[in-house]
Amino acid sequence: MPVEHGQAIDIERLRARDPQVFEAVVRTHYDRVYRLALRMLGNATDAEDVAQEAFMKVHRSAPRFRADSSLSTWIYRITHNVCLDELRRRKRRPLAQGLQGSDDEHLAVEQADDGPGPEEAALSADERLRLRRALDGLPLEFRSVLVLREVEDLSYEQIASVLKCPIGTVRSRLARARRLLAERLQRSDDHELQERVSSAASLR
Amino acid sequence: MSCRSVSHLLPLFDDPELSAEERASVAAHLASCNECAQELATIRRAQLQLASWRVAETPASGPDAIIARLSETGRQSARWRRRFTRPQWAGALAACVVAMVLWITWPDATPISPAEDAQPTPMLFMATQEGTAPFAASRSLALDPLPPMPLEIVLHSDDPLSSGQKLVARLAEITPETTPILLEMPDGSVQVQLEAVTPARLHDLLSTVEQSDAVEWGYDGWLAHIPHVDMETALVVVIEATGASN
Repeated sequence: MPVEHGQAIDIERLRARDPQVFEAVVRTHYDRVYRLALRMLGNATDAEDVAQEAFMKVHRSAPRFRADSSLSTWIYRITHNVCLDELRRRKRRPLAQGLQGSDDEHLAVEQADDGPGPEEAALSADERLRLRRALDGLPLEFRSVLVLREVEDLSYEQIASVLKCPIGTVRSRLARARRLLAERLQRSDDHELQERVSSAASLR
Repeated sequence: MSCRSVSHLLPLFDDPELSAEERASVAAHLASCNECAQELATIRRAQLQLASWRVAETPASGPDAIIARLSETGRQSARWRRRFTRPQWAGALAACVVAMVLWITWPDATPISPAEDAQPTPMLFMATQEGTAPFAASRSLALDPLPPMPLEIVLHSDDPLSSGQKLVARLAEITPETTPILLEMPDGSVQVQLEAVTPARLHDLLSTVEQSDAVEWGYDGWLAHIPHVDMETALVVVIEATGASN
């Protein structure tokens, strides 16, 4: 019986969708699922919805769970896929709407949503916003590896299992993703510095 | 050791997964290259920022809401199970199974053979799922036993909108039971979506469309395609212009 995070999960009962086992699974894994969704999607409301959807899928797919990956990797994989579905849905806008809704509008909604959010005060609101923008600007496969590694602290092997790709791909994506994120954050630093200089100049 | 030869390892320098030799080669380079050392510092700063962007609390009611929804689902599926295990359903179920087996093994469902002429087809066909790596193995669409799922056909070409319009018109003609939707995407491509199609039906559709010449593309009955094992998903077909088609 695999023991994960101090909790023994009976795989047979999980496959049989035993309500008691599921309750334990939800309580044990909720924080991880929610965190991944929040970092992938950028706002608390969507993260909560996606977390719900992910657990519904875990429940539906439970009879097909093979213990060849760990339970948490499997749950991460399902959550990650639900996140991609949600991001794809967002991109998809009917022709008429696509002409009206601007990206700025979309960003404003996200910020308002993220405002009083459950972030720790380790970063200032401004730093969080810049991080969010830098992360959102990255191609999805880079965002995924960064969140799984830097936020969720998974190993290369676990990430490969979540994304169903070779470890070599994880390595090369992670290397490129870290470089890209650093470049983007640096650029936004430079940009802010410039703005401060020019506003100081205009005060004079 | 040049900057280029360690550049793919530099951002991974702090990871325990790096081998001792790899780490040593990067360290040796860093000792003599100020530029790379600075780059590593910038990368580390970004890494630290991302890692300290912790989520302090998650919604306390989250797990309860899910558990409540799951127990509701459980009750519903138990009702369905009871209904379908009544004796009068047994015959119908057996018939369905026989039909499924016939459908999957039907001799007509063999893939049409790839085009024999060496002419490059103007369009390349491939199925992909966004955010995943390219697929290892290709398989026949006609023989794919997957259940119906939402379909997205992504068109990239010089004039994807008019190709998309032609495709929608043609699909509406040959599949009156579905309503294809045409979407213009932010990246300039065009998507045609159908609610639910089995891969085998998609094979029929694409073969028919091609014969009609309404849209100029090549389709050989095979897709590089990952069937999704964990959950239901959309089937995504990407059509890209591979050469000057006009």
